[in-house]
Amino acid sequence: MEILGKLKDAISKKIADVPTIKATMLGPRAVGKTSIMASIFSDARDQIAGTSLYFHPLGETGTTLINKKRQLMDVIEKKKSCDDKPNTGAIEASNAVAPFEFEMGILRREKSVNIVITDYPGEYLTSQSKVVSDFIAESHIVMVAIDTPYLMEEGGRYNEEKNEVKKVISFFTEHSEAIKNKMILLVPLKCELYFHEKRIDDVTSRVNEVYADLKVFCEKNNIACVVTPIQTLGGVEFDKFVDCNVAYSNLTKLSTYSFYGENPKYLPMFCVQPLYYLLTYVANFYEWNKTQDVGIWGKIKGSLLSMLKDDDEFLHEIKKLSAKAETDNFGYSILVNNTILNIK
Amino acid sequence: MLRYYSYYNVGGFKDMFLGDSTMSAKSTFFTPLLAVWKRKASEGDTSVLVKIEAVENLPKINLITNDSSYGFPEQAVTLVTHAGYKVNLSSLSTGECIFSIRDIDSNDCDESGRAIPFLLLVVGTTDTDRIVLEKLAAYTVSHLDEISNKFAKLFSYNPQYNAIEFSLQTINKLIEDISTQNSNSFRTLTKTVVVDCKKKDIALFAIPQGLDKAVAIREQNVKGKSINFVVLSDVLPFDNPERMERMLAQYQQQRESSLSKRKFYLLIASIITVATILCFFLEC
Amino acid sequence: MESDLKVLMMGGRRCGKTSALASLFCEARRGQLKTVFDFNNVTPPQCKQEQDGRMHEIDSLENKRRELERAIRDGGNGVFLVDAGITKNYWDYVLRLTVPGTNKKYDIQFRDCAGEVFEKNVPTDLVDYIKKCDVFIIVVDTPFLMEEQDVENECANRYEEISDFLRYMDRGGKPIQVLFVPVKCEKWVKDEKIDEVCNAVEKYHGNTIRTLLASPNVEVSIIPIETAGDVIFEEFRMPYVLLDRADDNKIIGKCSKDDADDTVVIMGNGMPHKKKENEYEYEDITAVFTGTDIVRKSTWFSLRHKPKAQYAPHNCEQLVTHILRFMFNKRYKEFGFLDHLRAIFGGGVTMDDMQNALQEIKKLNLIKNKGEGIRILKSCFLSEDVLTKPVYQEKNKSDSENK
Repeated sequence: MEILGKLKDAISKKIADVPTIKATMLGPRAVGKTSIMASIFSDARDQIAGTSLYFHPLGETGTTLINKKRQLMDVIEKKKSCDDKPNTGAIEASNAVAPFEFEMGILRREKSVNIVITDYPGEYLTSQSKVVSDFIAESHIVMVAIDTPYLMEEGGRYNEEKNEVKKVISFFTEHSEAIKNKMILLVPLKCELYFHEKRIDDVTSRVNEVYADLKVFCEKNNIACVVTPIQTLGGVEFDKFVDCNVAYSNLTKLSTYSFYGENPKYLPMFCVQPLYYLLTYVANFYEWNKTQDVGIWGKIKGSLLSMLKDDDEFLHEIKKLSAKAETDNFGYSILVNNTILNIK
Repeated sequence: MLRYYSYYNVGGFKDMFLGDSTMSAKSTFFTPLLAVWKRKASEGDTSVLVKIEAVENLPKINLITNDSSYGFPEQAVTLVTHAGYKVNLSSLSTGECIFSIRDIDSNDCDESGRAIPFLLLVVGTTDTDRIVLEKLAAYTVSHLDEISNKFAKLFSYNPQYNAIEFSLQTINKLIEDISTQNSNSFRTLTKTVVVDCKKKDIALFAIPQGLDKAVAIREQNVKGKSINFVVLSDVLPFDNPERMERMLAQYQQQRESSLSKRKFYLLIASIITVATILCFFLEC
Repeated sequence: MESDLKVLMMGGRRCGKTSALASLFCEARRGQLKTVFDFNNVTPPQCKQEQDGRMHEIDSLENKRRELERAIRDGGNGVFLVDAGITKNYWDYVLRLTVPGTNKKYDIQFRDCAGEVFEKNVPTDLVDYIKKCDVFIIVVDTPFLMEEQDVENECANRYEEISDFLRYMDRGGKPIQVLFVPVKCEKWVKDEKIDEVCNAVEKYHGNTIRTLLASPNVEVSIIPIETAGDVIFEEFRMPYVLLDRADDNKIIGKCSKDDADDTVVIMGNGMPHKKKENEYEYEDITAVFTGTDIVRKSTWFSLRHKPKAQYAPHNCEQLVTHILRFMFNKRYKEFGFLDHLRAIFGGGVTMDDMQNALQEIKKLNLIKNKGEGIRILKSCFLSEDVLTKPVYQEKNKSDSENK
C-alpha cells in the first residue's frame, strides 16, 4: 500500500508539474470575453495549423469556445442583433472566473505545455484584489481588454465608466511586486470600424494618451507594455451609442453595431497576436533568466524553464512562431520595452 | 426529493432533466422550436408570437450541458453512456442513491417503424428516498413489462404546444404507489432477493441472460465494488403470469430430471458398492 | 481477441457514417476484391436486451443497407427523403480478411459512433480508442457542405469537434491514415463537379488537414463515395411531420409542404398526399440542431434512372483498397524483416500475403489514386517497386543504402 501511495504521489506531482504558461485577462464586464477567447482560439488554430506545432483546447474549454464561435457565426451570417445588452449582474458574475485552458506542443509528440488564460471582471480588482494579484504573480503576462468604441467615440466621454482606466492603473500600482518584470498587453477590442476607416493608428494614439500614467508605472518597474488591437468579429462594426435606461446598470450608454458589407462573415483578425506576444515573452524570458540568479522566479516557473532548456526543438518552434508578432503595423505599438521583452 | 433524468431521443439523443418530485407542475415540456420561433420574432416575423406566448411559460425539460448539470451526479455518467445492465440501483459516495433503467422502448417510432429506446434515471437524496428507490428497483425487475409500458407512457407528444410532454404527476404517483404497496424484495426461481443499499454499493445490478458479469463490470467500470447481481431471466415476472408459469414448469422439469438423474446415479453407486462387498467376501 | 487494425468512423449526426460503413462491408464482400482476400463480417453478435430478459441478435449494418435498398425501391416517381435511422453510443464491427485457401486471418475493427458523441466532450473510453486507432474515416455530408450556409454546414458536419477529437491521436509516431469521405455526392459526380466538393472539404476541414499534413507519418486522402448510387440530392426543404389528430396524434410520416397547394403535402417517399380531415402538418421538433435555434432542413433526393433505379454503391471498395495498402505500409514500417518471424509464431496474414494481395489489386486496377475526386494529399506509402519486389530484399537494400 505504501508503494501504491508513493506511486500516486509521484503521478499527481507529475500532473501538477506540467509546464504551464499563465496569462491573466482583465477587462470590463460584458465586454464579451468568451467571444474574445473564441476569436483568439479560432484565429490561433487557423494560424498554427500547418506549422510543426499544435494548439488544442483542454477539457471543457473546447466545447465552450466551439459553441461560442458557432453562435457568433450565426449572429453575423444571419444578421441578428449583436448590440450590447445591459448587464444582468449575478448570473454572469458567478461564472466569470473560468480559466481557459489550452495545450501546445510539437505534432505527434507527447510532451507539451499548458496555456492557462484566466479572466477577471473589473469588479474583482476591488472586491477580490488578493486573488487577482496572486494569479498575476504566477502569470507571465497580463492582458487588459479595452472596449474600443467607448475609448474612441464622443471624445471618450463614456470611457471611464466602461473601461475603468483609473481603477486598473491604481490596482497595478498597489500590486507592483506581482507584476514587476512582466508584460502588460493593452488589447483594444471591436476595432472593426477603425480598421475599415484606416483609423487604427488613432486608436493606438488614444490608448497612449489615456494610459499615460500606466506607461510611467511600467517604466519604473521594468514592465513591458504593448498595444495589440484586434478585430473580434470581423463582419460587424460599431454604429452608435444608445441610452441605457436600466436601473441596475452603471452605464450611461450602450453600443449598437451594424453589419459590414453585403455578405457579412465571422472573420476575426489579428486575434492570434496576443498569443504570439505571450510566446515571445516566454521565450525571451527564458533567455533573460539564463543570465539571472535563480531566485523566486526560477522556483515559480521551474518546470516550464527546464522544459525549454531540455527541449531545443520546442523552444525553436515557439521562437519561429513568435517572430510573427506584429510590432509596428496595424496599430501595433510597443509603448514600453523592458529588459526581457527587448524587441528592437 | 426525487430528481428525474432521461437519455431520450428527440432529434438525437439528449441528456434531459425532466423535473423533480417537489415541483407543483403536472407536466414538464421539451420545446426545441421555442428558440427557433424567438429568433424568427427577433427578425420581425410576427406569425410566431402566438406560438411563443403559448409555450414560453410552460415548465421546461432542460438539457444537461457542460454549464448546467441540473444536479446530475457526475459519478452517474457511466450509467447513461454505457450499457451492461438493464436495471441498476447504486449508492454514491455523495450519499445519493440512483435508480436507472435502460433500453425502454418508447411509444415513438422512427420512420422504419422501429421503437426508439430510452433511459430513465431517478436520483434520491434522502434516506426516505433511498427506501423508496429500493422498493422501486425490486418492483421493476419483477414487473419489467408493466413498468416499461408505464414509463414509456410518461412521455408523449403534445400537438397543442408542438412539444414533448413528460408527466411528472404520473411518475410521482406511480413511485408513491409502488413504495406504499410493496417491499424491497423480489423472488427468483431459487430465492428471495432483498434490495438494500446499506449492504451493497450496487444494491441491484440486473443483467440480461447471456451477458457475462465480467463484461458488465467492465462496461460500468465498477470493479472492486460490492454488487448484488441478478440475471433477469431468473426473476419471477409477476406481471406476466403465463411466462412465470412457463418458467416454473421448466424449473420443475429441470429439478425432476436432475432428481431422477440423481436417483439413477445413486442406484449405480449402490450396485457397485454391493458388488465390491460381494467380491470382498468371495475373495475371503 | 484484439484486432489487428482499428478504424474509427467520425462525422456529425445523420451525415451518413453507418451507410458508408454498410456499403464498405457490402462492397468488400462482393465484386473483384473477393479474389484477393475472403472478407467476412465476424462482428460478435450485437445484442439488444429484450424485456423478457433475453438477448436478441441484431445486425444493424445489414438493416442499414436494406433500408437504403428499400428507399430506392419505394422511391416512386418524385423526390424522396432518406432520413431514417437510430444510433446509440457506439457499435463495433469486425471485418475479417482471410488469405484464400488458408486460415491466415487479419481482423479490422470499425467503431461507428453515434453522431451525438461529437456534440459534447470526448468520452474517456473513446479517448482510449482514438489513442490506439490506426485509421480515421471522416465522413462529410456533401449536401450540407455544398448547399447550406456556413453555420448549418458546421452544425451538420462538426468540423471543429472532429479536429478537437483528433488531438488524442497516437503521439508515438506510428503510421496513421486519415480518409476524408464525402458521401451523398452523386449529384456532384453527375454534374462533373466532384472536384468542387473536394475543394470544399479541403476548405472546411482546412485546419485539420493542414495539421495532419504537417504531422509525420500520417497519410491523408479524400475519397468521395456514392453509398447508394442512383440517389441524387435534389434540395433542402423545411421539415414537417403529418399527424392524425383522430388517431391519438399518431405521426403518419415526415413530409414537406407543397408550395402550390396547401391541402397537399409531399410525403417522405416523394408522393403528394391530399390531407384528410384530421390530418395536419406540424413543424418537425426533431429537426433543430441540439442546443441552437437553427432548424436542420431535411435533405430531399431523387432517383437517377427512374423508374429502374438500383442500389449501386460506387467507389466504396476504394476505402477498402486504400486501407489495405496502408495496412501493408504500416506493417512494413513497424516490423519490416521481423515480420517473417512474427508470421511463423503468430500465424496471421504476413507481409508477403499483403504484398501479393496488393499486386493483385494493382493488376486488376482496383485501386484509384486520382480521378473521380479521389485525392491523395499526403502519402506515407512505399514506392510502387516495393509492391512488386519481395519484401525482405527491399528491406535489405534500403538498410544497406542507409549504411
